[in-house]
Amino acid sequence: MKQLSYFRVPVMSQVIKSAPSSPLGKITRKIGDLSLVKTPGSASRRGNVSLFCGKTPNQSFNHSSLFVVGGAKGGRGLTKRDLTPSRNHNRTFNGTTGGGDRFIPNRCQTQFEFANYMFTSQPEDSTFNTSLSAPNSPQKNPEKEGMKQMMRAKSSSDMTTFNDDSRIFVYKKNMAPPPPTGHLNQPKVLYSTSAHPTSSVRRTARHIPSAPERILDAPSFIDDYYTNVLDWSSSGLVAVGLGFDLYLWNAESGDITHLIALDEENEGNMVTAVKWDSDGKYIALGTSDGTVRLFDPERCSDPTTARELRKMTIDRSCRTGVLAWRHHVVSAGHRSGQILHHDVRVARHNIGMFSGHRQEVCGMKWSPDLKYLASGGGDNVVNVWNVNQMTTTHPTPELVLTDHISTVRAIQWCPWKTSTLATGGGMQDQTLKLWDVNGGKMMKSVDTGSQVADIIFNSDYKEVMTAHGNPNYEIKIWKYPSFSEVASLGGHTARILSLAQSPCGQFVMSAAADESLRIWQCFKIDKSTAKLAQRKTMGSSIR
Amino acid sequence: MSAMDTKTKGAISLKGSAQLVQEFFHYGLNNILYQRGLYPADSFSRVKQYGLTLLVTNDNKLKAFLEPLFQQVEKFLAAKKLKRLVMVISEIKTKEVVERWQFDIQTEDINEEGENSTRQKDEKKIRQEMGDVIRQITASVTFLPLLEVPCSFDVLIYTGKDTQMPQDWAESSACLIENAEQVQLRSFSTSVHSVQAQVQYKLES
Repeated sequence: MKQLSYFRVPVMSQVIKSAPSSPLGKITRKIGDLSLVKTPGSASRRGNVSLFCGKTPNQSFNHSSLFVVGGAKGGRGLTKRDLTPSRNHNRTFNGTTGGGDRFIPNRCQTQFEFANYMFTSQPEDSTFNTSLSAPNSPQKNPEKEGMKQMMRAKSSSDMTTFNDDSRIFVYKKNMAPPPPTGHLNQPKVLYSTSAHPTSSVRRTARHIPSAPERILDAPSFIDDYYTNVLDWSSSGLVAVGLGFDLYLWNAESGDITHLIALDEENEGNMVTAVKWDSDGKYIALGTSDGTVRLFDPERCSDPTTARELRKMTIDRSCRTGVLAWRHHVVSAGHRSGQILHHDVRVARHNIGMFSGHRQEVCGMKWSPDLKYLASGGGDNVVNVWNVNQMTTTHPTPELVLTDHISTVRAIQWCPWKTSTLATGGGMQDQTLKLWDVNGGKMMKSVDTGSQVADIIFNSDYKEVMTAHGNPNYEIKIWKYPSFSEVASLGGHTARILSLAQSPCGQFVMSAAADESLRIWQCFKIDKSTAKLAQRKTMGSSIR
Repeated sequence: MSAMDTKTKGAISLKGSAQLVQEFFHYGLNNILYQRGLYPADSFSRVKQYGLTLLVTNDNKLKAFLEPLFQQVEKFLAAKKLKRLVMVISEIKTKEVVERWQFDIQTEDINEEGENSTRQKDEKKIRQEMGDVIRQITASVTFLPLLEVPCSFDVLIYTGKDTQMPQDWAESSACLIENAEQVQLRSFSTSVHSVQAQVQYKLES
């Protein structure tokens, strides 16, 4: 009968002795009591077996038969042969595993009685949540807390206090190099960011080349935050103003045309703003004397004798830093903070003026629906003007957004959500802010870590691109609207001032103070998906 | 002859042990900096060490900061003076200590020179033990509270009373955390130095 010494009672009583006050001890004591009550005297071990197994006749039969086998062999216990062979050959039967094999669960070690007891009775001091209701957070139990304290103390009571005579030195206190400005410890960094170098990380679906497609020289490109001399027309021509000259670069053929050369003797002829009209037929040119000139590239054959279509001057005006077209009206932002509107069709071209900035206007864009003009300037203010006020005598801005703390040059409207305006602040500010112009509320502010010089939205991928100046001369691509960083493109060695998007949207040209223009194919459209989309639109047009 | 070879192969001197432990701190602390996100993930590069892929900073400023530190640590280790090294992570703005990575060092009493200057322990085994500790440090990120505000770090060392204060170091308090949660990590031993790792962190209130 010795083989049945696996029965638990003796072991449990040991536990009870060793930990009389612990909750576990209490439970085990209960089990002990329970089994002891039902099995008077540890001698009747056969009774114990049936007690644990009796509920399922099948099982009890199994065990009693095993028992007989054991008995027949003269109390030597079960031999290996009596068990279904298991995979684990190394394990020899030691008389304490019970009669289970890998097919029939060992019922003897499953404490049904105990489980039943725990389910039916509900002692107040139970450490288990035995309620049948929905699980909820465990109640704070003072005893449990005490236990926790004890356990903690056991593991490290004297770990922090170093009692003996030791000296504590610190290495260059508080001198650890700070993380780069703008670095946020993204909790997700471990698992999900694209910046994470492990391969298990989900990457953006497309490959963004980190090197530019092409680099063009831009000698005597003016390093001036308040000028805008780069624009890509809807007809595919890039116009860039370099000093007193205007160059065109044909994106398809790669041809470079020296379109206009203004008289260098006159300081006021410095090109400070370039803007194509929406058809890509005419170029408006702003110069440092405040003049706005119109050119038709088709008609200019010789750069020195190129004749402008029109020259619009206003008395006492000063440098034109930025231009914006709205149909036949070209608006010019000036150093004085004024925005002048010129109707290019009529003789008295100056049809209105917005004066809401106290310093130089350097960013200006019409909303996609052409209802609002957003302007930013050196006074850290963004004004949003309503088109209805264009010709009124004392126009006031619809919105005055004053949250930026530095010059606002980067201004862009979201093409797929016309009421969303994105603005970027300069050196002190370094944030990219999104606004809802309907309510005038700021929806988002993202710290980019550098001066934001320009913003571009990409409709295909619903992404935002920002060009940065000091301290990191990078282009960054962000996912809209989460503004998680998708990519960052380095290469420029001085601050980037302008971005221009190709009409197809796939390419972006950046112009930087390192006198280079770089073309990035960062929004490359997957041919297969593009075809699909094309088919879709064709289908809808046929219908 | 061959018996000699095997004897010297597994032997480890105080100097060698100090170097090994210093190397462990280099990888261990870099690993903490990366895992806890103190610096951007892209400023780290991958290195194979201890049979693991570990991340070591490639930020020049940080490298320049850490290098003399580890040199000094190695000196102290070789002089059997280092009793404990603690990396304290604190919030930049409030200076509040949020995490303490503590490495308790026990140095066996052996003579630097002479007959007993070496001990037997396979280097491979030591490196494996170190790898296990680093692996556990990495794993502990799962239970440590997130560091949501920008944090910085300091390195403290505990030495004997009679130790001269080296250049660039200053006397400091222990930078303890009130009511900290503590988790004991694994330990390793080079048979000369045994290092017991532990992390303490601020309970989320």
